[in-house]
Amino acid sequence: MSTLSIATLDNRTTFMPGEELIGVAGWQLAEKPKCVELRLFWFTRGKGSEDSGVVATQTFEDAQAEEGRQFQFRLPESPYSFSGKLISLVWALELIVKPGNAVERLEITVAPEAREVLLK
Amino acid sequence: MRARDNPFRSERVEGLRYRPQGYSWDELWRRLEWLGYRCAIVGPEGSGKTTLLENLGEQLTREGRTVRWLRLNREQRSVPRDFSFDPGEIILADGIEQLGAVKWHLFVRRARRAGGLIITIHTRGRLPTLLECTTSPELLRELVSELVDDEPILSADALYQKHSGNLRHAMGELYELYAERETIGWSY
Repeated sequence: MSTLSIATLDNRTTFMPGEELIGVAGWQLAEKPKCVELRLFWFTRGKGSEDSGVVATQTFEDAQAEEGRQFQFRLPESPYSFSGKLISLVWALELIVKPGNAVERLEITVAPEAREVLLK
Repeated sequence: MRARDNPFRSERVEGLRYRPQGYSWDELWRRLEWLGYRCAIVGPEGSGKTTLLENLGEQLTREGRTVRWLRLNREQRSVPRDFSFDPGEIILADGIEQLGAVKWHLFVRRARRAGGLIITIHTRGRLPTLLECTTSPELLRELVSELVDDEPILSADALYQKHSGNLRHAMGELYELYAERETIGWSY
C-alpha cells in the first residue's frame, strides 16, 4: 500500500500571491516508482463543468521507494482563491506517483491578505 | 453557501455511480458481452446515460481494454475528420442523437473497424439496446441521500415532477436552493 504526504513550511495553507511556497513531499511505496511529480494548480468547483490550470510542476528525479524531497514554488500573482454561490476557485498541490493511481492533494488559499475572496 | 461547499456541486453529482434498476451489474455486463460491445444506451435527457457509459468505460479499462471517447453535444455536432477507428479500441460515443441520418450512416460504417461501439442516444433503433435508462422519485431520493444527510427543501416527488424526471435538472435546482440557504436563513 502507498502512503503519500505533502507538508508545507509551518503547515501553512494560506498564502499571498507572489509568496514562496516551500515544503516537503514524502512517499512510502512498495517499489521504486517510475516517476514522482508535484503539481501546483488551480481548479473550479460549483454548478458548471470544472476548469483547471496547472501552473508549475516539480519532478523528483531518480525517486526511491521511500523518501522525502523538498519542493519550492513561487506563487503567481493570480488567479486568487475565491468563492461565490455558483463557483469557487481553489488552489492545490498534488503529488502523483507513476505507475499506479496514487495521488495526494493539499488544498491551499492564494489571495490578498492570505484570505479567500468571498463574492456576493 | 459557498460553491466549494455545496453538496450538489458538479464534481459530487458527476461522481455518483449509475444505479441499475431491476437487474445486477453482472447481468448488464453479460448482456454487453453478448451484444459484442456494439449497442446503445437509450433514454431521455438526465436519465443517467452518460453516467452509465462512463462507469462501463471505467470497468472496461480495469479489464485491460482500450477505450476512446467521442463526445457530441450542441456545440460539437459532427465526428472530427481525424477520428480514427482501431480494432483494438472500443469507442464510447456519447450524444449520438446529434448525428443526422447521413452522418450516422457514415459513422457506423467506419466504426465497423473498431473493436466495439457503445453509444448513448435518446431513442431506440440505431444499434441493439443494451439498456433503456429510466428514472423515478425513489431513485432521485436515493441519489440525494448520498449527497446530503439532511432533508432537501423540496420533496423528491415534487422535484421529480417539476423536472419531468430529468435528474440532472433536479440536481441543478437543489444546487441553487442550497446556494441560497444561508442568505435567506432557511433551516431544517
